[in-house]
Amino acid sequence: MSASPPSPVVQLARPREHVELSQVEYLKARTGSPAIDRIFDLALTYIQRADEAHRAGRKVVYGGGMTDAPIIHAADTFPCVFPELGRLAGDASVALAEDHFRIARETCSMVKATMGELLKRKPLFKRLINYCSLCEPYNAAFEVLKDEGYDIYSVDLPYRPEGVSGERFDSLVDFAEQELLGLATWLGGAYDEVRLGSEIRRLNRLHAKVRRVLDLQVASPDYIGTLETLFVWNGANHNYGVPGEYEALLDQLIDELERFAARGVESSRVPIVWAGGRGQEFGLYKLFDDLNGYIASWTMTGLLLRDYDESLRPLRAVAHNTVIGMGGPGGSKDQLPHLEDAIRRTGSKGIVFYGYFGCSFSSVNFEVLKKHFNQQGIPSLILDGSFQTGAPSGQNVTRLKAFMEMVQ
Amino acid sequence: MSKKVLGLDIGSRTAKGVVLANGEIFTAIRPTGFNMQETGDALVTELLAKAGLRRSDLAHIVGTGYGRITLGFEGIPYGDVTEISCHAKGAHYLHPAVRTIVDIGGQDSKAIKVDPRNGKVAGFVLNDKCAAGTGKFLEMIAASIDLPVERLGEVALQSTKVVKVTSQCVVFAESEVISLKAQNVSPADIAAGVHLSVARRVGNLLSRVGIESDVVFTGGVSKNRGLRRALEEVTQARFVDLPLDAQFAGALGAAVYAKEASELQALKPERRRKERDLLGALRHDIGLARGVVGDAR
Amino acid sequence: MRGDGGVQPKRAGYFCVYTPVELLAAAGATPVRLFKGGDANTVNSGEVHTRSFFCQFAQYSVGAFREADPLYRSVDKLYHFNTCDQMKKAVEAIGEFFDVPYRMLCLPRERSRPAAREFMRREVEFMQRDVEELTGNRVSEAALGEAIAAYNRARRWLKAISELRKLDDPPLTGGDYLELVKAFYYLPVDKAVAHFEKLHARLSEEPPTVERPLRVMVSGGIVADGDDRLVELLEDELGTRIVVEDHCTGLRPFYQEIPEDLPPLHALADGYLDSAPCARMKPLSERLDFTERLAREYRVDAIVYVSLKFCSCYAITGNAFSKRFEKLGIPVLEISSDYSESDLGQLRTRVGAFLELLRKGETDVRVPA
Repeated sequence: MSASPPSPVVQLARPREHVELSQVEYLKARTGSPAIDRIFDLALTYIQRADEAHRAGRKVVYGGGMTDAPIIHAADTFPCVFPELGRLAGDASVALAEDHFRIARETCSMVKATMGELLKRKPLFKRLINYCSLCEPYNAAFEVLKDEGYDIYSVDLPYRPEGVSGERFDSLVDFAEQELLGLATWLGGAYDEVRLGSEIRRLNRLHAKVRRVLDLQVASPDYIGTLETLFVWNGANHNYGVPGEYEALLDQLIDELERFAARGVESSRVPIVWAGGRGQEFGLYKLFDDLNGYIASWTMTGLLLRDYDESLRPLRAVAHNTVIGMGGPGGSKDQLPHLEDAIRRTGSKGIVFYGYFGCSFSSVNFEVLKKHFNQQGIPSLILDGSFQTGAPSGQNVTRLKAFMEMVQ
Repeated sequence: MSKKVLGLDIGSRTAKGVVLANGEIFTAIRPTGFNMQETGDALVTELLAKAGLRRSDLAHIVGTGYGRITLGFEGIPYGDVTEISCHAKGAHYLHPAVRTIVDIGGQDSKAIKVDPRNGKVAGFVLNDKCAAGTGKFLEMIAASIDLPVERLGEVALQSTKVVKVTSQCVVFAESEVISLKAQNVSPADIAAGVHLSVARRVGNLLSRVGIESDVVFTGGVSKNRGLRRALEEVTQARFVDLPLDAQFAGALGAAVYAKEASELQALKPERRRKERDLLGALRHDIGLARGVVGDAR
Repeated sequence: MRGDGGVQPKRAGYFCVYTPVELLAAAGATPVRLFKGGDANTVNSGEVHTRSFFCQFAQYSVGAFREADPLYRSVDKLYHFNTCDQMKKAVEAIGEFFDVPYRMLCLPRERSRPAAREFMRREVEFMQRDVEELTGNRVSEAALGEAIAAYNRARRWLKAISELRKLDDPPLTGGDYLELVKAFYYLPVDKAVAHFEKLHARLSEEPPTVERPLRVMVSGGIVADGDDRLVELLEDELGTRIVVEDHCTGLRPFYQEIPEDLPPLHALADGYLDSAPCARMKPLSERLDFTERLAREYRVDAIVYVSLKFCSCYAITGNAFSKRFEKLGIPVLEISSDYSESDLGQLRTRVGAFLELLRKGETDVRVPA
């Protein structure tokens, strides 16, 4: 079959048409890549499969599925992760959250969307993992959710302050390790170190393949677009609940990309570093592709692809990666080297900082980093995104367009 | 001879007055202007004339609304009550079965729960921090689709298609509407979508006090039939009309309170905190430590 | 407390009450709590480096540095036990944009877990080393024990004075009490204790009266130094009495003492973890249990629950709070506040209507004094 660049069935020529298209429709449309099509299917059926797993007697849990993934897989638990839950959420969920929990309107849309969904889904499985250092509104919201019958385990992951190293860093990892042990026990019975070790090795193997996909994508950015890449990325830890199949799809995609790269087609696309969150705003990613960009490095969230150190005992390896990848962004100065390295490596023309409106998490960091890159003459753009899967705001569309015009 | 009383509702834009005399209601309205006392005095004069009364006939005046705390009337006992309680009292007087009041004004929206036994407030929620769910939002949208805001409601009633305006914030909603306009969505459909959005916000507010029929819709925006319809849809409650223009509900309630007050022997003024200077030395030391220069206030 | 022979002691600033002041004092540093707020211009200034959706206390805190408030600028280093996201980011912004040295420390949330306790102790030890480096003084166990005892004395006095408000007609107002709390944070501890001792004696002498003002508890997020409107409204204008505070600039931080029967560093770690909790602590039910206890002890008639707009910890949990007290039959007024000037009329209406709602007497009509 020909490895030509995929195109969705619905051609979007102008940004404002994003108003009409939903993410779900986009994911249902077939691309030219069989591997991507199947990954999209996995995303579309994710929640349904979580429900089926629950009905079939398997353990299912909300949340997690990031650097804690080995622990969840080792406990044979299906991680019903928040981003996938959020894909279903519309303004009805948001309104429900505002109404039922009386969450203030200004609260981050991700929190409201997932809280609303969790409320709607109350009769189904009820276990949920919360990471304390990720998000303040979630911390508060999950306390309130306990009143709705949810069994919530808060992993008291410490915030990783800027510049923490040496003995203090070890102290943070010690604490994280204890907390993750608590998680492992809560998920199901005794903690099986051997099993955890094998999950770590498996995930390291997967991460290598995801990195291979990303490298191939960077080398020949016209085969799959940004959103497609993002969905590959998304599965790196939770594997869409089907580890075996996901790995096979990675192999298939690598093969497709290699065959495309072999054609030696030159690309005119402009490389950009994407820093911050990944989010749901498919309209923005599509626009980004339409504006002839491609993402050469997914930094900051790239820390979630760190290999687990197999020389450490398994739980410590997970704790180590978790403190780095999920202990908060760790302050702006810690992110700087990763960003500078990304720009150097990829020859990127600029950086997009993407966060959700309402998220204090990324806000100050972005300002600090932007200031730094301004001083170096590297253009950057801060986008206040939204968790909702509807159209991107006119403001963000305009900003992204202006930015891409500037860097071309 | 029953006592005659007067209620004043000095809002930020309009000032309303009501006289209750032998069961009859007289009303007056004028712009609030800059000097609230003057406006209050003018309303009193106008109402006395309408009711054929003299100043000495008035047993009590109660003021409500934004300007209530600064007023005083020579020779006439005066007190103030918040517009929330006055609204409830006034609506109850006009329609004793009322249990919920929805008040949407230019700057704020309120949901008030009324005790049907006595017209007292049983609960209330205010939104005065955010334009979403207030008349201001409707004004902004009317401007962006080139309609006078007074026509927005009737235009909305002509809508044939459900259009969703989903943005959380009126600023984003405005750009969403502009985008809809560019896609040739009809003004009627846009207006209806916007009304639904406002109704949902207000419905949110209402659900905090619990929506119970009968419901009364008051406030500057209450004449907007499109919004009324959207509210009825969202709340699924029974909305009733008051026999008096709803904008006088507050002043009427104030008058009813004035009647209650006039029937009591004497009202005690509010307790004041005892003056003391026990903390003088402490305050001085804190001031030094904290540094008077660059103080917060 | 030892100083450095003629050299000015280092000034260690902090925002939240989870910072062990005893450790700072024992090292010869001057602890300075930075908790001013209320001025809209300072807030606007702070917004330059934070975002619009930050609470105004965080914005004010950043703004105060930007506007070179002398008190804030007098600080040599900031110590912050991470409480909530926004204050955490505010501290980082201050450090980054105004070159203020800071040390960020980790505060666990699930306080009943043994690992949390051990970790907290390690963090306190780390803070000790940092403070020693800042001041050039070694902190001995004895000095730390003395500091703990001194601050505990201050806490005991503050609690005792607060308990005078359990009377039907309290001899001091809520406004007065907030001033006393400020003394704890602004003055050297011995000076504060001297004031408290004298005041307690004089207040205890106040003759009882037959007045019984409405008893209000103010609960919720921080009531900054300079954020006086609510207190003035409740007490001066509307004649109620704030008999107890469930927030961190009122009684709450002084309800419990730091243990004096443990090795000092452990005592600090445990004592601060176990203190009456801020809403950022987990589980929420423990916080509500504390508030309930306080409400019963002080026989409150009503609660005014205040959260700053955009505050996650207090705003999102406001509904759960109200529901708990609804069940107990204590009415709650939830207020979302900020520092804008234009707020006062709306605040007056809300609080006024709430009091009218509570009034079981003859009339709601209020005659201004």
